Amino acid sequence: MTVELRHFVEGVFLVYAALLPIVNPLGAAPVFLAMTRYADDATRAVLARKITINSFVLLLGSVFIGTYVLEFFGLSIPVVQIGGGLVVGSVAWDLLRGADVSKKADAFDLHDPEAVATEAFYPLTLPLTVGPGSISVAITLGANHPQTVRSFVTAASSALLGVVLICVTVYLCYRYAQRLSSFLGGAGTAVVVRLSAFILLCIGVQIIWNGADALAGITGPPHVRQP
Amino acid sequence: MLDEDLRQLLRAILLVVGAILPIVNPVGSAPMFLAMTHGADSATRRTLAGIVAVNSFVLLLASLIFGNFVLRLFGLSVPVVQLGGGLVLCALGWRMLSDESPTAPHEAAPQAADSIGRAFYPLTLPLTVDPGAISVAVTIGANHSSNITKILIALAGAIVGVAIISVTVWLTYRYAERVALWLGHNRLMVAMRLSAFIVLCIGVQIAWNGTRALLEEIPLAASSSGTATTGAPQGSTTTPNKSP
Repeated sequence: MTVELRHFVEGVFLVYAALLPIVNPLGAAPVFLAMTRYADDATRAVLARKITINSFVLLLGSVFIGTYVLEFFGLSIPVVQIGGGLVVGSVAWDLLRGADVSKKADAFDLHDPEAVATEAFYPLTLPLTVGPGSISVAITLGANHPQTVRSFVTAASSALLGVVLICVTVYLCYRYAQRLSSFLGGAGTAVVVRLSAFILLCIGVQIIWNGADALAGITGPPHVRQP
Repeated sequence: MLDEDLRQLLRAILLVVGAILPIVNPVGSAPMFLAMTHGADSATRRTLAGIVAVNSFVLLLASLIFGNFVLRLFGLSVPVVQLGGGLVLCALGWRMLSDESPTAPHEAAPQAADSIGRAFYPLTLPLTVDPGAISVAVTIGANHSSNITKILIALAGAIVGVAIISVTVWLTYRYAERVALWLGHNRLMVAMRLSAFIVLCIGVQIAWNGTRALLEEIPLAASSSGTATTGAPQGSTTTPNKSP
């Protein structure tokens, strides 16, 4: 029993420590602020809650059924990294140039709950909070299935708790991102937003490269083979 | 004799259905069909499901029977088709993913008449019968035998197998709307974004499959061109030796 408790605690820490640097709610909070810059405080609170629930479902789904979904569509993880990295890079590019955001904010009807819900999933949840990097890590975490029922229950419950902790962190960061921005002021927030947009762009490029590297490793570099 | 032929026919049908159905994957592409026909009413969707099924039947059967000849006519290889088709699929998924206003049905309503025109592209060609399915169909159709009964059996097997696949596509697309109603609007939007992302990933996967096949040719081509360049002087040295 104590062994299982230890496995459980270890599992929770593994999931939390593996996902937190990639989900990175602290880094994503300024981007969240920038994408909702015309929304009022109440809408932001609603969005934060919706994003948290979406992220929870998406991460948990990736951990438990991600492998089967990939198999069903005949996909591999590096390919998901390349496709998702392109999407992250594109969102960051738009954010960095600042052209698309204002246009989107005009079209973004804050009194329409359906529009808010749609916006909360894409782009706020899918490439921004839970990006392809997080999805691929979550799929990898769920990929090694334990043999016995007891160890499965331990692993599943620790994954559940770890994902819950991640989502609580996301909620806290997004909910109180406003205070950070009022502390920084208008000019400071603009600088932080541009910087984090640039970092997001680089994260997208990194994820694309990780996928491309894994794919190139399958065939082996041609310049090694040639001699 | 007849028993043997019947068994071969069954085997041909199973080969076609077993190889192509998992790649056409109607259950997986049904949400994408819903996403692409967003705003169309159910009558239009029913018509579209029928047209897409007929188009898929013709396209798959043509790929099975004439695919090789068409590729040879234009001097194409299967990996090149995969790469090109994968790029088309990527572009489609990208547009579905970054579609600004999927929540405006009034905007999409006039599209209903013109969405019939989209039944072939993009609904049939990159979405239902993707380049992966076409390349598998071309590969299956590649081994022609010389015996006339065997050719007839293979032809009948191909027709029946492709018909089974098309009926599956039709049934899945026809009843996809019920699943959409059951999901509700918000969850449907989420499912559409997710399936758009999956379309993008499938495009990358197919493009990569083609690229990998092409890349594997490069060292071969380099070594064969190396032997060709080393072979050419040998040939040129052997032919003068031979000629005197």
